[in-house]
Amino acid sequence: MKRSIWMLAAAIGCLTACSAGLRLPPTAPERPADLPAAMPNVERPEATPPKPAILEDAPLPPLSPAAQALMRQVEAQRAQGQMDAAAATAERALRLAPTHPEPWLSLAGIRLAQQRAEQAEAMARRALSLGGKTRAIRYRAWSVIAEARQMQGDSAGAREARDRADRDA
Amino acid sequence: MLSAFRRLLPFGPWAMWATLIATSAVIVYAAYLDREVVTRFETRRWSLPAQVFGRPLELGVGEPTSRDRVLRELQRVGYRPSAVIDSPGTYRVDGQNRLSIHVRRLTFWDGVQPARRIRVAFDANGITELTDLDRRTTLTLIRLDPELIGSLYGADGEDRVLLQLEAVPETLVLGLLAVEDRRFTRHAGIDPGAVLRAAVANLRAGRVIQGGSTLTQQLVKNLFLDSERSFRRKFDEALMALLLEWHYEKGEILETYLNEVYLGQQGGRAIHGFGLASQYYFGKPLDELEIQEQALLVALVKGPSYYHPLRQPARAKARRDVVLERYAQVGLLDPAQLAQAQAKPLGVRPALARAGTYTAALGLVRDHLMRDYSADALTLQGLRVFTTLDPETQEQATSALTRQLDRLGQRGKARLEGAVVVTDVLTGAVQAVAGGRNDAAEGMNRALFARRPIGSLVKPAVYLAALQSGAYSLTTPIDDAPVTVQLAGGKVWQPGNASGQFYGKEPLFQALAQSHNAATVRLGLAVGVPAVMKTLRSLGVDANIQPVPALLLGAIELTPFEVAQMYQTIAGGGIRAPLQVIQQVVSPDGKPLQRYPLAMETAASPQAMALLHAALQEVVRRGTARAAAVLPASMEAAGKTGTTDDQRDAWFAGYAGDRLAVVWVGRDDNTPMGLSGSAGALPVWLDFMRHTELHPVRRTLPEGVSLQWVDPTSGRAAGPECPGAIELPFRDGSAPVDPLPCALGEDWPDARSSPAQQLRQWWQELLTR
Repeated sequence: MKRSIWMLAAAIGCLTACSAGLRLPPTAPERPADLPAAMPNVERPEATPPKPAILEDAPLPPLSPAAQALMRQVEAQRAQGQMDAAAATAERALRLAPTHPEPWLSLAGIRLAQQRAEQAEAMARRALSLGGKTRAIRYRAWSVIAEARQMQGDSAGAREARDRADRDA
Repeated sequence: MLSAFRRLLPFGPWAMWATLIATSAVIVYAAYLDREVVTRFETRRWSLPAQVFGRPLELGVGEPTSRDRVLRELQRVGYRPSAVIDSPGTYRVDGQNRLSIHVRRLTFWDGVQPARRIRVAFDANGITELTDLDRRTTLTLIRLDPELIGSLYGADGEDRVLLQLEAVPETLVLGLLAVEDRRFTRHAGIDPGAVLRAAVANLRAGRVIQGGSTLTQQLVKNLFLDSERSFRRKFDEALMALLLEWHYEKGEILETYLNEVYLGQQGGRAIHGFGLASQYYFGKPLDELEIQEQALLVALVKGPSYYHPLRQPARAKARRDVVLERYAQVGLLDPAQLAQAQAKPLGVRPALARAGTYTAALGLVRDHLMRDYSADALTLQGLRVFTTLDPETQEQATSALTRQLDRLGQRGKARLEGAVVVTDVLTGAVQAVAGGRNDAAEGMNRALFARRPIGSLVKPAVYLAALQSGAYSLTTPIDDAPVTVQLAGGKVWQPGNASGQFYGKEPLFQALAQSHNAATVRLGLAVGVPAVMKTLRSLGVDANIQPVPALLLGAIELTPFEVAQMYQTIAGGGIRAPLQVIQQVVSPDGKPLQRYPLAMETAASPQAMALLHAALQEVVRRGTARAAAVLPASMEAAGKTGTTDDQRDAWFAGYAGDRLAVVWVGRDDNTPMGLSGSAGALPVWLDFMRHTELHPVRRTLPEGVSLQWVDPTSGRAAGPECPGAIELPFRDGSAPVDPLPCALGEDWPDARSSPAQQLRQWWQELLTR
C-alpha cells in the first residue's frame, strides 16, 4: 500500500506538470505552443538533437525460413566476392519479402560495396520506412546512410547520419 | 529415247525439234529450281522470336501461399493430376493440406533446377514444409515453371519453339505419318498412289475432301511457294519436292516439317511447329502430351482455323477422333485405348481463351528490350526473357477493366475503352498491363501509347511542392475562392470547380481530397509553377512539361504507363524506382546475357511524403474516391481521381497495400463520354483491388513527424474525443495550436471519455492492486 501512495503522489505531480489533461507525454519533448516555430540559434544548443526519453524498439515480424535461406545465400556470395550474384539473390529475397526491412538493408549494403552510394541510401531509407520502429534496423540503416553520404563527399550529412545512428547504438 | 523420236518422224522433223526443245526447257527449268531449292533450304533462317516468361511462383517455407494458389498455378503451366507422379509435369492432391508435385527441369538465369518430386504441406497461414521425395531431404525454397506468356515475333508474325527430331515423341511422328503421308518412308517426294486415291475420294464426294500431297510437298509449299493455286504452282511443287528429297535425308526433311508446319493463329501471331503448338494449346512441353492431345495437333494440320478447338470445338473433336481411329487402324492404339482416348475432352488450357491478354504487356517488354537489342536479335535468336509480369494479376486487371467497361455501357457512338497498369509499390516491378478491353482483338496499346491530359492527377505534385517547401502543413488554410491569372498576351484565366461553386477557406489536405481547383491554383501560384515542374521531374515525369499556370490543373499529357511511374514514386514514399518489367535475358542454351538490376534513388523528403500519403488517404476515406473506402483500413488505400475537359478522360491512380494501379477510361476518338474519374476509372481500380491479393505495407512515420488530432473542417487542434476528429501527421512544431473547446476538456460530449472519468478509472485500478 505504501508503494501505491508514492505512485499516486508521482501521478499527481505529473498531472500538475502537464498542462492539457491526460495526454500521454510524446516521445519527443514538445515545444510549448506559444513559441515561434523558428527560434534564434543562440537559444538552442547546437549539434545535440534532443534525445528522446525512451528509444522505441518494436520487435520485427520474423522473415520466413525461405527468405532467411536466401539471406544466408546472399552472405555466402558476398563472402566469396560474388557481388552481382549476391545482388541477384538479394533481389530474389526482396521479391519474396518486399515489406520486410532486412532484404532492403542487405541490398543497400551490397550497393555500398558496389560504390553505388545514392542507391544504397535510397534502399536504407526504404528499410527505415519499413522497420523504423526497431532500434537495430534504425542503427544499421543510418550507418549505411552515413557511409553513403561520406562516399558522395557529403561530410556534414555523413556526420549527422552517424550521430543519428549512434543514438540507437 | 531414239525410237520415240523415230516414231515422231512421220510428223516431220519439226515435231522432233519441238520435242527436243521442250525437253531441254524442262531440264533447264529443273536446274534452275534445283539451285533455288538448295540455296533457299541451306540459307533459310528460322524465325525464333524471343520467348517471354512471367515471374515464377516461388514455393517457400513460411510463405503465405495457399494450396489453392499453387493448384491454380499448376494448371496454368500445364501440370496434370495423376495418381502416380512418375513423370515431370504431374501432381497429386494428398488430402486437404498436402500436394505432391513432379516439378519439371527448369532453366533460370541463375542455373538449372533439376526435375524432382516434392511434397508441399500447408496450414491456414501458407506453406509449412517442403520435402524432396527423391532425396528424402527437406527444402526451403523451390520455383515452379514460369508461364510462357508470349513471343516477340517480327513482321512476318512467325512464332515457333525449335525442336530437335530426337525430342519429338515417337507416337506423334508415327501418327502424323499415318494420317498425312503413309508412304513417306518410301516415296521420292511425291506419291502418285496418294494423288489417285485422293482424286477418287474427291470425285466420289463431289468436292475436295482429301489432298494427295506428301509431307515433302507440304513443306515445299510452306517454305518456297506462295498460296496461289494454279497448275504451274502444282508442277513446281512436285518438282521441288523431288529435288528436296534428292538432296536431303528423310530425317532432315521431317524435322524441318515438324518445326515449320502452320498450326494456328492468334491475332498477328502465326503458330508454327509442334513445339510451340503444344505450349500454345496445352501450356506444356510436347513430350508431356497424352495421345489424344497429340492427335488434336495432328488434326490441326489440315486446317487450324477450320478446326479451331475453341471456336469450332465440335468440328475439332470430330476431326481428332478420326485421327485417333487412323491411329488404331495402323496399330498405334488397341480398341480399348481408342475408346478411352476418344472419350477424353479436347483439354486445351483454360488460358487459351485469354491468349490475347498479354498483348499490351508484351508490347512493353518489346519496347524495353529494344533499348538494348536489335529487332533481328529479338525475332531470330530465340532469346529467353524473364519478366516480372504476373499472369494472375494480369487476368484480374483485364477482367476488372472488361467487366466495368461493360457495366458502364455504350454511352454514345464510340465505345468506351480503357487501360490499366499494375506495379509493385516497393520494387517498381510491373505486374500487369492491359491496353484495352479484351485485347485479344489486338487493338492499340493504350497503356503505352495513349497520351492524354492527366487533369487532377497532377495535383499531388502541386501539394508536394508546397509541403516540401516547409511553409505549409496539412491544415494550413487555403482559400478556394475565384482566382484570376494573367496569361501572356493579355489573356486571363479564371479556373473554377466542376460543381460551379467555390468552397472558401479550407485546410490544405481538404483542398486536395476534394480536388478543388481554385484552391489548388492559388497554392500552385504561391509555390510557383517552376517548383511544381521540378517536383514532377523528381517524381519521374520525363514528358514535355509546359511552364504555364494551366499545368497546375493538369495541362500535361502522359500515357497511363508514365502516370504509373509518377505515382510509383509517391506510393514508394518518395523513393523513385524506374518501372521494371525485364529481370533477365538468357541465351537459348541458358547462358545469362543481361540482368536488369533493381535501381532506386531518393526523390523527395520522407517527411513531406508522409504528409502527402496522409492527404491521399483522405481522398479515399472522405474525398472524391470515397467509394473505395470499403478496402481494409490496413491497406491504407490512397490515390487521386482525374477528369479532363468535358469529361473526355477519366483517371484514377492509387495504391493499396503493396500494389499500385493506374486506370484510364476514355474514347479512342477523344470525344466526351460523360464520366468523371470517380465514375469512370475508380470502379475499375476498385474492382481490381477487391479481386487481387493485397499485403499491407507497414509505413513508419519518419523522425520529425508525429500524429496529431485535428478537426477536418476547421483544421484546428482536436482530441480523439472530439466528434469527427481525424489524426494527421505534422512536422514537429507545425501542428495547429488553436484547440477546439472539446480538446481542452471544457465541453465533453461523451462523459465516459472526460479527463475526470479517466482519472477516476485510474484511481480505482490503483486501489484494487
